[in-house]
Formats: sequence, structure tokens, C-alpha cells
Amino acid sequence: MSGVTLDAVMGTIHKLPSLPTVVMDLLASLTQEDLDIDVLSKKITTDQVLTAKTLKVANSTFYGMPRQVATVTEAISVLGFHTIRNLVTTTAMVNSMPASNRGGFDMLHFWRHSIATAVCANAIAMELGEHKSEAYTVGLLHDIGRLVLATQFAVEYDNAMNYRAAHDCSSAVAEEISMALDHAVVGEALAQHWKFPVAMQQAIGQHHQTATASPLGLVVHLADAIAHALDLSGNEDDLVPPVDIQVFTALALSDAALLRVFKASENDFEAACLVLST
Amino acid sequence: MTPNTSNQILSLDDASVGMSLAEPVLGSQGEVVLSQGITLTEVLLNALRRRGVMSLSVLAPDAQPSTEARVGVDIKVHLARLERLFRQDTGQSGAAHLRALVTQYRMETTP
Repeated sequence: MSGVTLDAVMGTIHKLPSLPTVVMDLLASLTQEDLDIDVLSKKITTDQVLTAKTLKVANSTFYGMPRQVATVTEAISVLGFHTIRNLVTTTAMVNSMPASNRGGFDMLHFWRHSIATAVCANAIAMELGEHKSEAYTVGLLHDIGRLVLATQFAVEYDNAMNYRAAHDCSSAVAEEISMALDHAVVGEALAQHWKFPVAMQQAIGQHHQTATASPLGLVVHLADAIAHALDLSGNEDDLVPPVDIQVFTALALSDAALLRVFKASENDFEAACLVLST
Repeated sequence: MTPNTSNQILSLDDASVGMSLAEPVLGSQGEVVLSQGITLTEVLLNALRRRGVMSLSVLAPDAQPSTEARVGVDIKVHLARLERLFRQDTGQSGAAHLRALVTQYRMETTP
């Protein structure tokens, strides 16, 4: 076993590229009540690469738009600010985070699972009528600690993934046993470094710890499990992690509501994944 | 792509849910609006109609499993896959509940 200390993780987190300004602005907007959409759409437009990619995806058939749009403002007016904000955040994250394809870590599976959890968390939030603005982003970034470990501690993470393959356990268990660290803790530290709203930092950190999790943390815990159960990542070895039965009652989600969540998640998923091929 | 089968160009009106695209559908500027290999759904067909797409290339019928065969096979494939996805959760109550719901969902939505 080769442990990685949280200190070492904090050291590397500070060396990671900072988030694009527009993403910082969009994240700040998640908890803003008096949202100025015009100002935000102008900010998105200042990043030309991001704008071009966003429009390309928004114009694809998956979004079912009646006509082609040429500007971010137009895209917002047709698809709504909520959809465009999620699309821009996903595009920016996928393009700004470092990549790794070593050993047992597969970037495509990683992002597909992240996006699946995001659309699923969003669908749960819509059913609950709560956490509607932040659920998608927390779902998208719930496993971001894995990416930090896989890219910054590649040798140690290879060992963890070898352990995972040999014992057919979840990534979290493999990390804990072989690195003495869990990706949720690393993700929370990164979210803190990025100055995410505190509730979002905690939800990322708590997505395996249901006993102490906030409602948003529970939403992500459940969305993570559903994303695995719906087999969306494309990973042949995918595995549904343990699910806390209390979460169903704590969130007061009926069986009928969950069936609607499955359907909405499957409907939204491929459109959301277009970002990966743009 | 399955070898030794020819693709079929169909008008959009003749295309139906469940068919797989043999070639990407391109927009007026040559951009890919739907990738090859995608299985057509009602939502996608409607979106293509709104876009004014006239025709598309799908896998020939002999490359698509017959509807009758697909019904039996698909649900068996889904159930076997669920067995594999939930392989670590025997007896865990939260996972058992989720598995029961996803199974119900697959039974209801598999054609």
C-alpha cells in the first residue's frame, strides 16, 4: 500500500489550472437570486472557443430546436438559461481539466458517468422541486477527485485501479485500501479551492457518507447509484455502489417519481454527452 | 458495423423507432446532426422532421434483429446486465430497492 496524504493532495490542487473565469461566474450564479442573464450571456460570449462549442452542441438535433441559433442569447431564449448554463459548465469542465488514460482509468467512461450523474441529479431535483440550479453541477463534479488522483498521483492510482480490477470492488473501496484516501475527500478539497458555494463542496465530499449528508448530498448519492444502474457510462465492468435505503424515505421520492427520473435521465443523457465529441 | 449487409436509404416517413443509423445524418452545412450507430427514437424522429431532413441511411433489415426476436432477446439482455451491474449488492436493501425499480422500468420500456 502506498498512501497519499491529504497534504500532498492539497499541494497538487494548487498547481492545477484555475477554472475559466466564465465558469467561476456561472458557479457564482447558482446561488444568486437576482440573476442578470444578459450580463452572464455576455460573459459566456467573451470566451470564443466555449461559445463556438456551446452553439455547435445546442444546434445538434438532440436538443430538438426548431431552428439554428447563432448567438448565446438566442440559444438561451430557445433552450432556457438553465440548459445553457449546464451545457457551458460541462463544456468548460471537460475542456479545462487535465486528462489521463493510464492503466485502469478511462477518461471517456469517467466523463460519461459524471454527465449521467449530473442529468440524473437534475431529474431528481426537478421531482423534488428543490436544488434545481445546483444539482446538475454537483452531480457533474461529484467524482472530480478521481480525476485529480488519476492525473496527479498516476502511479498510486494505477495500483488502486489494479486492486479494483483484481477484487472487483468499487473505486472508492480500492482507493481507500490502496491509497488510504477517498476521491470524495479530494473532490471536496478541490471544490473548496475553486471557492464553490459551501453547500456544493459538502455535497461532493459527502456523496458516500449518507449518515451525515445534507439533502443535496443525498441527491448526489442517489443520482450516482441510478447512473450506474441505468448503465450509462459504457463501462463493461460498471458496478452499482451500495445505496442507503434511508435515502429514498429521506428524500420522499415515490416509486413513480423514480421511474420518471429514470426516463428523464435516459432522455437527457445523449444530448448532454455531445459535449464529449465536440 | 456488421459485415456483408447493405445499408438502406429511407425517406424520413418510412424510418421508424428502433432502427439504427448506418451513416451520420448531416445538416445543411455538412455538420453532423446525428451520429452513426444511434438508435432512432420518437423524439429524434420528430427533431429530424422539424429540421427538414428528408432521408437517412439505416442498417438494412437483415442487419436489424426482427421485432419478435428483439423483444425476447432485449429483455433477457437487460436482466442479465442488471444481474452484472448489481453483482455486489446481494441482500443490501437500498440496492435491492433500486434494482427492483430499474427492473420494472426495463420491463415497461422494452418494446
